[in-house]
Amino acid sequence: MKKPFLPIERSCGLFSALWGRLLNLRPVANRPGAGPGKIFGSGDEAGVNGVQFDVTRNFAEFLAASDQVIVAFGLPEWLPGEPQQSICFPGRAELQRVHQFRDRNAWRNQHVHVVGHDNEIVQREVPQRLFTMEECVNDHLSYFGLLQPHRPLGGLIQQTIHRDERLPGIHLRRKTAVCRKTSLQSPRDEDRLPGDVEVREAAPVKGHSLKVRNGWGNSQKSSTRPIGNRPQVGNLPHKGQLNLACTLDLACTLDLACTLNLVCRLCFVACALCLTALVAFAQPPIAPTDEPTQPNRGDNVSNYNVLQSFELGYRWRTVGGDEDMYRATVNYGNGVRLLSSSLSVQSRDGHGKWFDQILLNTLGHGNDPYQSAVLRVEKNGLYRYDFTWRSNAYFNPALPISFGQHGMNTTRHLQDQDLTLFPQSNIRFLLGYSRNTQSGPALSTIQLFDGSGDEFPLFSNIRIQQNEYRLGTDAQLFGFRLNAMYSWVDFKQDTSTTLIAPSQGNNVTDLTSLSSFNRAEPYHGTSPYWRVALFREGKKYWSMNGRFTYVAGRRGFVLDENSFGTDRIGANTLRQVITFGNAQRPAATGNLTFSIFPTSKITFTNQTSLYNIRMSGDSYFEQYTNGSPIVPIYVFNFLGIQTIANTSDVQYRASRWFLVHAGYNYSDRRINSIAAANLAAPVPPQSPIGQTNRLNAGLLGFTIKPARALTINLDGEIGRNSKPIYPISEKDYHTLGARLNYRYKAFRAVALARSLYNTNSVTLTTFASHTRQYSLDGSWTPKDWFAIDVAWSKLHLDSLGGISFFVNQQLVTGAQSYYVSNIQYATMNAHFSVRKRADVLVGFSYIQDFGDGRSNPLISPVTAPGLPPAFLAAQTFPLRFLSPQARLSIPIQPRIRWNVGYQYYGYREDFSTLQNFRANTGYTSISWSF
Amino acid sequence: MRGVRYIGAMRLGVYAIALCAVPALSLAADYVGSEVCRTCHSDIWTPFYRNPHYKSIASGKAKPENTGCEGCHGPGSDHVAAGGGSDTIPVAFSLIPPEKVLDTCLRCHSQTISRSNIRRSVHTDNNIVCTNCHSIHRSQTPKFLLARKQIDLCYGCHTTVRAQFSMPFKHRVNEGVMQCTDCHNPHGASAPTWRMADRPRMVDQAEGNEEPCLKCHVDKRGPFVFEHVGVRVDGCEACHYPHGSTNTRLLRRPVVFTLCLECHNGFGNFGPNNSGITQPQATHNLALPRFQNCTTCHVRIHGSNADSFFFR
Repeated sequence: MKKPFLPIERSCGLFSALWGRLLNLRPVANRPGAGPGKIFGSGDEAGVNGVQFDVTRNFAEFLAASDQVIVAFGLPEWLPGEPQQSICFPGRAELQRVHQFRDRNAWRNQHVHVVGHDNEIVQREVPQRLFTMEECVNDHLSYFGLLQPHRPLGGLIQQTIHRDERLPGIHLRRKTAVCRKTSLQSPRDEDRLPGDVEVREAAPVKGHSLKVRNGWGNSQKSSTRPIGNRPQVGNLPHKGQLNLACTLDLACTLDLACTLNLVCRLCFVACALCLTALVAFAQPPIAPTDEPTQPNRGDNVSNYNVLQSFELGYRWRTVGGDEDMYRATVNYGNGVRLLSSSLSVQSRDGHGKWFDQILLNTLGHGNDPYQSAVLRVEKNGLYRYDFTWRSNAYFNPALPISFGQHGMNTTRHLQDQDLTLFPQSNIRFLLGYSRNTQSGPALSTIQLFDGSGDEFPLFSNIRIQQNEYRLGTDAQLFGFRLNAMYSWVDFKQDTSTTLIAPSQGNNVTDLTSLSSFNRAEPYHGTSPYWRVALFREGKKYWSMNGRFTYVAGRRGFVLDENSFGTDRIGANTLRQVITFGNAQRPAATGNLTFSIFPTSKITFTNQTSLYNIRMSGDSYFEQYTNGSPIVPIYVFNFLGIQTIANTSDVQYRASRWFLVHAGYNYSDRRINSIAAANLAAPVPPQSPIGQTNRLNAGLLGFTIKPARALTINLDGEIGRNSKPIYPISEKDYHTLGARLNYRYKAFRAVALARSLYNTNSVTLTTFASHTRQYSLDGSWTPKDWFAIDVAWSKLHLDSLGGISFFVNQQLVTGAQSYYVSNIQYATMNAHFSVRKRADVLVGFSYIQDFGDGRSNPLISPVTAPGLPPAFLAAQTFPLRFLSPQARLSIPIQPRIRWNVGYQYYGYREDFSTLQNFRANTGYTSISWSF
Repeated sequence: MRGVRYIGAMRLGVYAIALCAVPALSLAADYVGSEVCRTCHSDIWTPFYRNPHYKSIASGKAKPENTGCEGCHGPGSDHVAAGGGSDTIPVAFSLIPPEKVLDTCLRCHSQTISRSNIRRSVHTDNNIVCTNCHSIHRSQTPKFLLARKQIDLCYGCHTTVRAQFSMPFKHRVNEGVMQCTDCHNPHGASAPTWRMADRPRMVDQAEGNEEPCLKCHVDKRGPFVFEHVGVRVDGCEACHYPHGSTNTRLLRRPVVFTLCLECHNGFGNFGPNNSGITQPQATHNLALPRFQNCTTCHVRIHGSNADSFFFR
């Protein structure tokens, strides 16, 4: 075996030699794991031609364990969480997003190839002197020590099988780990294509059908393409050819070529990177890193297989401008973070003693504003335990754009625990517990001391907690599946409110002021519910299911409020407000669904839904002003909503390329309300005021598949409401939508157009809105080392409604609220891998609301004295939010990666500068899997 | 050409071995058992112990038509006899039409409440079935056998939603603390209990059949003595964009008073009392900024126990 890069080292002198040492460019034969592993035979040396098992010379042995050969060719053992398969469209075509594309072609490039290397069909070929971008990048980064020589994925999987993880039924003679390789020797360091070096290519073999792995297609997909057309050319063995590469003449040639092209190529690479950075977009936060560490099979401990990975790093940020706005929109801070982690413990035979599966995934631990942990522990047939914990730090400043004085800096913790006993039996038992808490400081306001008073900022200490306990069962009865669950939901809110400092209020010109304030308002209650469901599925001609739920919500409350200040005439005022009472909200819901399949092409489904909710509450209100009580008030309110809806859907599959579905929906909703008050209890009964609204809506849709790669969805809906409850509610509306999905090989595109018009006539009491959405989304993965994902969307909304209000105590009518929003969104991800030595992500996300397309507000024809500016103009609030990002991930060891990323956030409003901000965020981390 | 011939002989040997193994391993006439399948499809079989479907194999109690490879792909004797080929697999998911995929999966997976509406879901209507989102043999997610990360799955088709979650104000889906399925059920949902019970849009209701917003925002749930009728009747999205917005608090308008006044104009026969929605009083001088943010005074806009005007 020759030293493959000796010519290059010589030609490039000491510099290359040094980097060559660093890059571990020692002979392949001395490199552990580089040579073919051995499956058969007792010796350690490979067979003739470097083939670990030569079929032609060991046919009898091959027959005895023929399956093993196919297995050992090695299709990687994919793990949960690794990039393996993309989304399939209806036609089984796949989507491929940018995330984790690195190994996506590992399957595609694997070929079960059993042609002997010394076979006559293996010919020589002089390739074109054509460098791909990948080769350019790799070559020149290799010079600078960033890369090791390329080892193409095709035909080579170098991870070893753990010694205990062999195929059942096959007895291997060797106990040690074996290397998964094809019968064709995979390319090694010497297989790189330095210029004019001759390489051999397999000639077409007539009638030789190969099994070609498609990355996400069928597990085994036959292809009859001749071998010579396959991209495995470079994977063929190079018996003798690399001797040429070792000659000094060739070295000189290479030296010249490399020298002459070095600067040009580096410039090309740099330009390509810069260009990509300029045009590439990304949306999710830069960390944690999407790149997986080297796929591994974990370690076998006893009867379990254990996989672990961690990403530990440091986040940083610098913010200029309105930091509160940054916290409201992004909110990542500084510090050490366990950005992500995962643990998988799997029983290998499904008969673990205490458990068969443990899955644990975490995100953002260590004070990220968004943290989560998901745990599953399962013992087959006995129990399954799921635990989800989430934490969301929510910061909302008192934004000046909305003249707001309400702010929040709270943290919400949510957890859900579910235990299923006997999950695979006909009778299962379900136990669950959920907890939801929110706590933290907040800013609020209160209006005192009368209707013409003033507003004062207050401080609140929010404390909200809800606990839910679930108990249920799931049983098979007479062919039906019965699901019953009962739950107790306890809620309590003990938020206290105080005044931070004496205040003159928002209106500093009046005499109203507030000197002290405190309020306690405990608000506790329960919402137990029943849920019973019946299912019957799997019948040839019909299926049905029904569900009934009943929720009995109750709340009890007390409010005790004390305030002291001066009223609008400057008189000292001490006010105490006491109110207490109860509120109920029982709600009953039923759904009954029938599905009928008269033929294999027709599905008819009908669902009838009933919904009845009654919200009622009574309270006692008492107020003291300067010690003098105001006559207490007893209040009773009632709001009842009854809805009956029936929906019918029919789907007809005329052929494999044409499907039509249609539906009709009828809804009848009645609302009853009572608002009663009395100076003494009880409140006399009153007749409710009612109203009824009826909706008739129909929809029609088509799915057309004119080609295997193309799917078109068209649909529309039209509806009529007889009496919407609000002016903005839908009355006469229609929707139109079209979606086009196209995928051909590694290219995918989705085009979407959708509109929703609520076409009420525009008068003072009605409202019209037009929503139009357009979107183009495409991704292209031309190589296994490069993927790009581009998306553009336009979200348009214009609405026009009549409004009426007072200005200087004069009623203004005839004005209209005209709101226009034109949001353009564009994003692009470019994700490329420099061989297997570095993964780079560059991206950009851009959101801009152009308003109605004009930089200046439109002067409304409606004029009135003192009319607020927002009514004089079209309400257009243009703003821009952009976020470029870049990430570099370098595997420094097979299972360790170093990651570094940067993301910029820029927020700019065109109508105000108060909330603009610029933020530079970044992180660096180490990913480690084992 | 010797190699080619050897390959043919090798394959014949494989098939012969597999066929010989059939009588010993199969539990039914046409079912050959997973042991036979793995002789050729060991790449599928080797990591299959991580697959939730392995439970039926591990239990050893399931009938052959309900376990192992043939539990989904059908009896494999013809496939073995033919020496392979996807056309000889009774249920080859890459070849059968979508409705057959759905039927096959629902043989076992229909008995849960979360999939009770799958026959009438928008996904099914548009031929989006199980294998469009789930990858049985090459899942990328630790749970639910999803083909890719959930947001990638959803964004792949719902491209405008991707834009909405990229707004300055949004629910933290891209950040990973929320998922689409926190609010939506991709297998279909029952009629909503808000609005006119139309177009469920796969919105997964809370356990009490309420809007999914109340799963997290429990303080907005009530019941209150004084309910804001608009919240209860038309739902939270009457005022908020649930996915994302350029406006703070996911509001539909950047300023509060226009949002409120579009309903509260006092005219017509709207509202629960058929007398129009309450109009601002004459003391509200909308020309002044302090009156343009309604919630400065009406702080408990989602519902109050103390005041019919939501003052406290």
